[in-house]
Amino acid sequence: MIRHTAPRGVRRAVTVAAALAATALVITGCTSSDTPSDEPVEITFWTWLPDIQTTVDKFEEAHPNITVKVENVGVGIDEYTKIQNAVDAGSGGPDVAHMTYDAIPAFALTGALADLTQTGGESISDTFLPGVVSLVQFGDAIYGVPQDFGPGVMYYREDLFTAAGVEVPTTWDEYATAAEQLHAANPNAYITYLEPGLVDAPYMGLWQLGAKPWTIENGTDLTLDLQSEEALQWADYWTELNNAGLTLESVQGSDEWFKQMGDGQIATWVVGAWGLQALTGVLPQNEGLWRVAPQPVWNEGDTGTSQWGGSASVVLAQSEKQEAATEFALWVNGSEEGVASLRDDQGLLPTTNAVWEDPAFIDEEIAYLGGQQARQIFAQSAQDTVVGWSWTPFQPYIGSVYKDTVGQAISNKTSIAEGFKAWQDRIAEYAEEQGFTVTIAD
Amino acid sequence: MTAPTALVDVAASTRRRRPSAKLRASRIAYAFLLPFIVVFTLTIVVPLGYALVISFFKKQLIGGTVFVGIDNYVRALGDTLLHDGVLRVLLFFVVQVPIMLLIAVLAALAIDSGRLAGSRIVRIGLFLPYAVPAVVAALMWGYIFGGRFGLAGQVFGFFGVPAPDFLGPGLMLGSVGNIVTWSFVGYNMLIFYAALRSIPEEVYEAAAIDGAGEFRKAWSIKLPALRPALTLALIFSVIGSLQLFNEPSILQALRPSVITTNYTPNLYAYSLSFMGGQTNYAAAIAVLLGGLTVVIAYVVQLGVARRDRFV
Amino acid sequence: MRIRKSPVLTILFWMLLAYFMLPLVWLLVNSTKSNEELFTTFGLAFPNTFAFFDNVAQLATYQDGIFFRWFGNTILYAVVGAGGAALIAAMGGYALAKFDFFGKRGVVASILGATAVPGTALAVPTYMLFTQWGLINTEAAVILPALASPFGLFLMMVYAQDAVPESMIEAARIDGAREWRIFFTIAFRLMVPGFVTVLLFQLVATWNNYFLPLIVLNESDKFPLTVGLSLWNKLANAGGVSVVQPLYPLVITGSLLAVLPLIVAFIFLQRYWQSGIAAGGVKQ
Repeated sequence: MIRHTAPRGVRRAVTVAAALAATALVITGCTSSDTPSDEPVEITFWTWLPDIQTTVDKFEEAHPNITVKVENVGVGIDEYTKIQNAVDAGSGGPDVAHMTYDAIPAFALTGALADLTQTGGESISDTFLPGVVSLVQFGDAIYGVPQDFGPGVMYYREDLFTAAGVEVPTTWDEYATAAEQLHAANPNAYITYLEPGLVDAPYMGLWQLGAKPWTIENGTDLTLDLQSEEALQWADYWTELNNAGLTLESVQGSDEWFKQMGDGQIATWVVGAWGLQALTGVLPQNEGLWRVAPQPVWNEGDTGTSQWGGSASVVLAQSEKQEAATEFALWVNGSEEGVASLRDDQGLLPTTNAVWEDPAFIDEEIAYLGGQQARQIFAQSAQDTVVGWSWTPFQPYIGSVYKDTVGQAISNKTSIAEGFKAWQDRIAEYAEEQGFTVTIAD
Repeated sequence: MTAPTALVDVAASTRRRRPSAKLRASRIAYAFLLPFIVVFTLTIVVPLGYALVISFFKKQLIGGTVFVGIDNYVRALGDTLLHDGVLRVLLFFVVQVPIMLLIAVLAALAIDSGRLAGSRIVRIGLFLPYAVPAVVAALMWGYIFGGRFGLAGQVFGFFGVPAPDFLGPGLMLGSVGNIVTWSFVGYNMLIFYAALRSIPEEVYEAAAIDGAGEFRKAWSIKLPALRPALTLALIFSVIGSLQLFNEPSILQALRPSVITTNYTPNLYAYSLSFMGGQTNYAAAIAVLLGGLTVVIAYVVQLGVARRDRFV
Repeated sequence: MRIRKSPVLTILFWMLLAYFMLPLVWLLVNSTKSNEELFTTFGLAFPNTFAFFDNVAQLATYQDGIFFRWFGNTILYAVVGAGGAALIAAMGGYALAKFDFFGKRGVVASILGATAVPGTALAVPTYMLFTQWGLINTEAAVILPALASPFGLFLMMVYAQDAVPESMIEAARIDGAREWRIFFTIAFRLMVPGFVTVLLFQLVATWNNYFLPLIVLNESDKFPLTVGLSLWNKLANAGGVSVVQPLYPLVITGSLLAVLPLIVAFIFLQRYWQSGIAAGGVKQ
């Protein structure tokens, strides 16, 4: 029951059955013909994707010598706890595991994950979108095969905007104006919700602004900067909307939240592209009411977006079958058949260069969104993602104390900037405990 | 809820015997106790010992594991986040436990009096919530407390007033208490009820001859008979309150900003260990909490007649 | 003598009962809803389309019917764990009640002291030790800890004190009966109501055990219902992760099915339950 950031990163991408016009894709290094050895081998794969067996079956068909045992041992932090326990105990972990990008540094930097450039994954940086590769690459080492990602977009209720006669915002200024107009026209409607425990929202916001709230140098020197100009810009913006009563406090993914979304109380949802999956899955009755638009920007003419969510397949350092494990991870996430299955059977947004060059994929009209060619917007957002965002090795802790600090400000309608300061203090205290040399930027 | 009555009878049954007889009795007694001692040792004592050992170490992301002596304990004593949680569960104990036990006693008296129609159904009904697993409880309470779509919203909306925010900072502890009460009233009620059933019929007959009314009987016969059971329930409520975890973590999913990571000491230990990887510090907190529990359980009992005490 | 029912008392307690039953009623009502109606109808109103059997059918088929596998696991863990715990507690309680032995106070005090330390902090140590012992991801890792019930031990001790007269034990000894025989043929029979009580308490406790199985099991095929349903609930919260199946109705209907056996157990075993508790509550 304990909420924290990781499982939310989980919310996954879309894709309604795409008409799959098979396009010739060039995927390097991961087809069955490359199988290094024919020795039968069994690998264990931990993931919480409920329907993954379909994809695994296809892999096994193409790789008769590799058997994959799929285990769903928990969502997000529950799985990570098990992996951490197995790492500490020296055995008992899986060969391949599903891991959200924010959780990877904690395991990678403590030596728990295999460097895939040494186990047959040299091709990763060429196969996958550069913006996504940067989330699994630390120095020259690559610690995961990207599976999906969450390029930022804005879902909105077209019916609400039309009824209120409000323009769909493209900048955050327009967004604030729309917030007022919408609420004035319909007191039950709010531009969006704020969730005091949902750390992904500020991550996404700070990322878009190019903020660097935490920077680690030499492995031990941590600089915290949650009072930077960018951080304060985000904080003050939301403080204003929140205090003006233009946002609704709600818990994303809760039963009540889905009701509010379905009921037209929440007009926009700025989130990773996978949000569509949640809408179609839980609110099928809303078909045709929602649309997607680019993530609003801070200044007219800006293009920079950010991301929310997404996962990779990682290989554990304690695995004795790292080659087979890497081969599996590459096939599922990077091969033509694997990607097709991720997209069609799992409803994920794949991350290969090839798929994002495939017109059949990009131009598909999404019925739920009133026939919009939504993936064009996703693709644009993926391309425009601001580079330079990074995660710390103790991201779960940072996420867990967000609600203790910033969450208080949101709930009590006080200054979120002050909340950021309290958050920064808690992080600093923790990092010092963990042996980092902490500097607070001024 | 576990353990109780134990210590009670230890002294009573300890009679002087010849050493050789006691030696023989010891051999047999330990043979009977052996299975319990083995499983208890393997699953509780050894992990506890392990926790005690690691509470003197510190594991850092940078620098690895080092021996730090009693540093973790010193830190806990000065940790205001921990203090907040401890004060909160103490407040909880002082307020919620009397209410819960009062309802349980009244329910037991009512059922025992025979003046309640359908008492068998009431008895089972009050007891059922104890069997409801946490994942279900979270869904149900989320609905019941929900201000907009929930029952609270609908009921208050019917009267045209906005529902109070049951999950807001002001009422949250009360809502937690509500769930705990809901879960454990029936449990305690059954213990009390059983105590009442065991009062010999002759006692009532004697009271009737003295012309005692129902109220008088309840006051001077039934309540005194409940004392040992009440003491037992009280001690286990001390343990339950100080280890408060399930109910707040259920509500945390619904209102994360109110149930902070240090809302109760046990939640804090959990969060330190599972979110922050500070297993060592969490172990120290658990040990301290265990110590505090024992002390409070002892103090609470001082208000009880010596013969009714457990420790 | 017939006691007149009190209308005031009856009304008061039936109101209390109604409040206590409310969450269960909610569960019952919502298990009849389809995913769509869960989000469009009022919480305590029955849906337009009665989807209960649909939901059960989906439970039976989703992920090859893993729900019923979890159900079976739960029954295994609860029955073996509770049965074993009750037996172990009966033996130990008998020893504590009927023998004057060296170290008795120490044993009792240690058990109580260890119970006062919250189990959350023992999770990581338990994992490490179970790994060393090769127990991780085995049924034994769930069952073994369920076997130790301090409450059960003390309840049995108290019960044995009263229920088993010393004179019967002495008489059996004079007849030359061995101690094991005395316990199983004489004492245990007298302790059956207490034994059933501990059995039921442990049954509920093991049935609802979540934290430990979550930590020690690594294969969903071995999960009990609590862990499995919580997993689905988290996925449902994550928002339509499954492209095949909306999970909310499965969680709710599955939860109802998970509670039912315990309700049935309560109703059928309440007679034993009461007489067993009496010993624990009453005597000092």
